[in-house]
Amino acid sequence: MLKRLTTEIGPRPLGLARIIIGSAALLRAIIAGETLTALTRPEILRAPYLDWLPDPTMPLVVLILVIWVVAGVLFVLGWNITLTGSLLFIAIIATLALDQQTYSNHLYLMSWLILLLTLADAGAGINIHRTDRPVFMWPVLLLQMQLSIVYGFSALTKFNESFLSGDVFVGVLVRGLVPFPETLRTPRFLVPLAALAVFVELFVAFFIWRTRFRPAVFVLGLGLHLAITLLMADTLPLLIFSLEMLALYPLFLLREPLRLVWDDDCESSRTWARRLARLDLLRALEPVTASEGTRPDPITESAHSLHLVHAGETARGFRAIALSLEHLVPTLWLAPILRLPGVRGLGERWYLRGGTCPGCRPIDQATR
Amino acid sequence: MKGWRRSPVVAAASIAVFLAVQLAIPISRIGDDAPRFGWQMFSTAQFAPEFVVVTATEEIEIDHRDYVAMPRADVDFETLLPPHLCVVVPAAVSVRWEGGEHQC
Repeated sequence: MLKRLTTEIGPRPLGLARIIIGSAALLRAIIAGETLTALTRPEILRAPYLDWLPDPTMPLVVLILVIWVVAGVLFVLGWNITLTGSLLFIAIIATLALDQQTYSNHLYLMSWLILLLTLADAGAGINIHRTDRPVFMWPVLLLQMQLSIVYGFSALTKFNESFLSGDVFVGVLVRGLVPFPETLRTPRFLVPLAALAVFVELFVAFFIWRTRFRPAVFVLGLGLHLAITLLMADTLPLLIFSLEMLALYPLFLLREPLRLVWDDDCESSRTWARRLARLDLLRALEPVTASEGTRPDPITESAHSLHLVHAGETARGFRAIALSLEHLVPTLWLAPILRLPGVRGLGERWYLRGGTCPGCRPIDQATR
Repeated sequence: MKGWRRSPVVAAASIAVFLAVQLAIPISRIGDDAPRFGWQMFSTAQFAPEFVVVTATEEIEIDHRDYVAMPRADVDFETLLPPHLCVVVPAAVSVRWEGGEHQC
């Protein structure tokens, strides 16, 4: 069991998380700059945690922000993560420590994520050096746990009258990027909406760990974050929070190879394989041409020229495309919709009409 | 750098410490009036206290945005802001807010 913690895994989902969270940190520097600069003005209240902490003077604020931005850019690029991650972490902690008014949950979360990404050697994948090296599993596990802990406690603390009665939504569903309809600002709508928000947070916290429920988790998680970012006031902080959380989702994708078998004699098969490979930022797919196969395929039909072999099971045709999309960034959040009965039926009809290769050679699921 | 990450003992200890901190802090903050460090995101209604500065001749309604860097519900502005307003608003005699008054 302990040995499993130090298993080496692919670094690209972690690298992607680093890029997204590092970019969110750069966006957050704008808010930190505003707050810290305000604190240097004499008419603004100062609320230090401890009396001996330094006052936020302008030189100190500039120093923090310069470190934040320079380290942030290099962190996004994946250059010397131990150094740049540590500096970025120090800049964020210094900001949090200077005054009670600089606190926010998403900045506090960011400090944890930067620390964990630094621990995890998140520069190992998708980096400026263009070389990937494997990472150890246990720091990635910490990042996964962080996601569940944030959603879990966020849901638990919402079990109070103020939230479940919809009062909180009355106050926060204002001045959003998308105006919240006034006709829906009633307890009849807001009370179920509050319950739904708690349900989604709990569902994501627990079921993201279960392969079977993960597609639903991705769709619900994206819906939750789109809703809070678009409908609630203070779009920028909410966008930053959403980026922090959504960046962690791909860490939960399965690590077993997804073998995409395609018929190299078939134009449509080749086109689809090429399209999917272009989207495969995390290199989740292992494309294999049918000509590399060794045996005739007893179970597949010639009409299905594209197959996805995963964990001993084979998906064919449209299902293979849909399943591939569920493992690719950025389609993984929306691809599960293709599982819905009506959508799936439409997709299969569309695939059979335009994407088939009558006469194509059968493809062996056990290629190679 | 990679060497210490390879150790199963370091891995297990790190997970144990992480979980202890990440569970203990939020649990200890449940039910806190000024919750922070516990992932209480939009869990309770926010409020913005309204302050009035009283001088010898007038009462001035204060826009708190002119005197605070970030109006957060988890900062105890009722304790912190009145003494500050006494210093920065000329001729302030007292500061009033709903449920309290501070003499300068």
